[in-house]
Amino acid sequence: MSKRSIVPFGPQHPVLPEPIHLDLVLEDEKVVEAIPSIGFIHRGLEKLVEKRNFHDYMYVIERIMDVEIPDRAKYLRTIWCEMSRLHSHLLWLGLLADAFGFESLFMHCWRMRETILDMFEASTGGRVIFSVNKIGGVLKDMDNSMLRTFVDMFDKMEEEVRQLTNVFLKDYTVANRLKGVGILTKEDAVLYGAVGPMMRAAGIESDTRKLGYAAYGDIDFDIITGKDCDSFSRCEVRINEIFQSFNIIRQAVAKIPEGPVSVDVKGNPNGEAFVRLEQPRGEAIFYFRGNGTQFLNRARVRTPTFANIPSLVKILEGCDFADVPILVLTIDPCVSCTER
Amino acid sequence: MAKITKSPWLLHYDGSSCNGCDIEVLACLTPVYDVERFGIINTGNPKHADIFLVTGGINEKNKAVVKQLYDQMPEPKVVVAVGICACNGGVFKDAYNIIGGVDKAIPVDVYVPGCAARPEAIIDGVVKALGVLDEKQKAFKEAKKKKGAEK
Amino acid sequence: MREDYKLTTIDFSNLSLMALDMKGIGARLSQICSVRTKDGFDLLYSFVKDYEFINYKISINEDTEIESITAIFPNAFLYENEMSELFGIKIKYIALDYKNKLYDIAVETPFK
Repeated sequence: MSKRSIVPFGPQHPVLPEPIHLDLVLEDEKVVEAIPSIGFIHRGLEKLVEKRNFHDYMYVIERIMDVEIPDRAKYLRTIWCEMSRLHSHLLWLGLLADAFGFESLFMHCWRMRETILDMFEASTGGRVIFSVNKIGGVLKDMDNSMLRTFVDMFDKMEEEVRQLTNVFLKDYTVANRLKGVGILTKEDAVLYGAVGPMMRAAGIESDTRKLGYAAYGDIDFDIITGKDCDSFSRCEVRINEIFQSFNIIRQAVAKIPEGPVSVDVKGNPNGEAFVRLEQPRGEAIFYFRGNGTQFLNRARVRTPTFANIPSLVKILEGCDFADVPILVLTIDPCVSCTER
Repeated sequence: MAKITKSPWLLHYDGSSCNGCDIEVLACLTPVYDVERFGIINTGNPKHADIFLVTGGINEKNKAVVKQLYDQMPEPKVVVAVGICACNGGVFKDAYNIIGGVDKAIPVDVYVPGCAARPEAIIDGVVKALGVLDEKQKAFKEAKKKKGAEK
Repeated sequence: MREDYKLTTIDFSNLSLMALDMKGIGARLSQICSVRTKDGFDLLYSFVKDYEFINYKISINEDTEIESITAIFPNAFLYENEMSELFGIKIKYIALDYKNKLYDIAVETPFK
């Protein structure tokens, strides 16, 4: 056995937009163990529910109070969800390109992402934080001409995105950095509780959207899986999900019914509910317990990154030191969401 | 300010934000907003940086990290607090682990409001920071000259 | 469509047995969460098997010491460390025990 050394990674690191710290135990250039340490962004959001009233969180409350929202609102939420997925995956592709030093690819991904942000701004008023949902529906409606314009824009974009993603899928420099790196087998994915594209890249067919929340029940889509369980597979899955999102949005716009976008909700939530949603990064779980007042007893948010950290630790074991930044990125970390 | 006298380098650090402002900071550096056309480059190394962009309300664990990054930056340096959380804690003001603003940890020169702060606002903040940087540099040079004269 | 899920209440002494059961059917540990109640805590263990969402509720007193399930589900270490740090729940045998320093917060057990 060669001499072991410990290299600290993060919290501030060029590849990391957000702070997470890893203690990497190295034997020469190989990582033998990684110990994550989080907490740099822990704020205590779950505790805030005792001080702020429940109107800040929508879907779970609707579930506790048994509110059925109008169909049009369901479709609008679906469209915004998929637009979020589009921009999130493009953002991730960009960051990945940046991590292996393909600067121009990074810029192109982010350039395309800006078009989606413009659409968000046109439809909700915000670029990043939308504040468009409310209990009982949505605050703003998108009129049909706007929806048609969006579909036209997406049609144009799809062609551009295909050219871009071809680089990821066909360029040999990209393949050299990603293929066979960071393997998470199907068994390990279950054992370590991986979610989202991380899990699907390991060949597990599961997508929380298939539960049919919002308008997903009326929409026809396949679950995208990978087969090689490596970083390239995860990249491939996310790329295919981009085209899937285009498809879902087109279907949703074609099927969206006319009607109101919200219903009035009276009273305070009393009771408890679990809700699972498929976010761009994977399955998120919300658990809220109300007590009949305007403040909640408990709000629990389990974000996909939190579930993926154990898998990250697993894939880091045995990898090359130089691959660490890429592997950290392949789980699509959102540390801020994780620590709440 | 009439002209940019220097090509400043940025250091960005997430001091307990929700990630909203962070992606907007990155959006500033990429096409559409593209601050690189002014010669502004995002660096990962505090020792190369002139301007320190901090997002988020800073928590107890992060305080030491932010301080250390600030100390590693060479003089003169400017700190820009990006987003309402960085200015005073924002929605997380009441959270138990938030100290409530970057200025509770390190001295701040420019405040950029917004949730999330818009790229236009961030660029505006950076341009303002350049003015502050110029002034600081002038004062720095004068102090050096004075010191030389005393010797 | 609304998702229906199972919520079964079990005693804390059956915790490891329940976890072994879940592992036996090939479910993945999806989350562990705790809720402060009047004289103790409710612990909610969630598992996912295909599209089935299986939940177990365990009610404990403030000073009950529970066993870690990290030997069965290694990814439980994050949830268990979180519970012990934020709620002050006593858990023994955690594989990677941060000793209440997971988040390293300034206040002690804010959710207790």
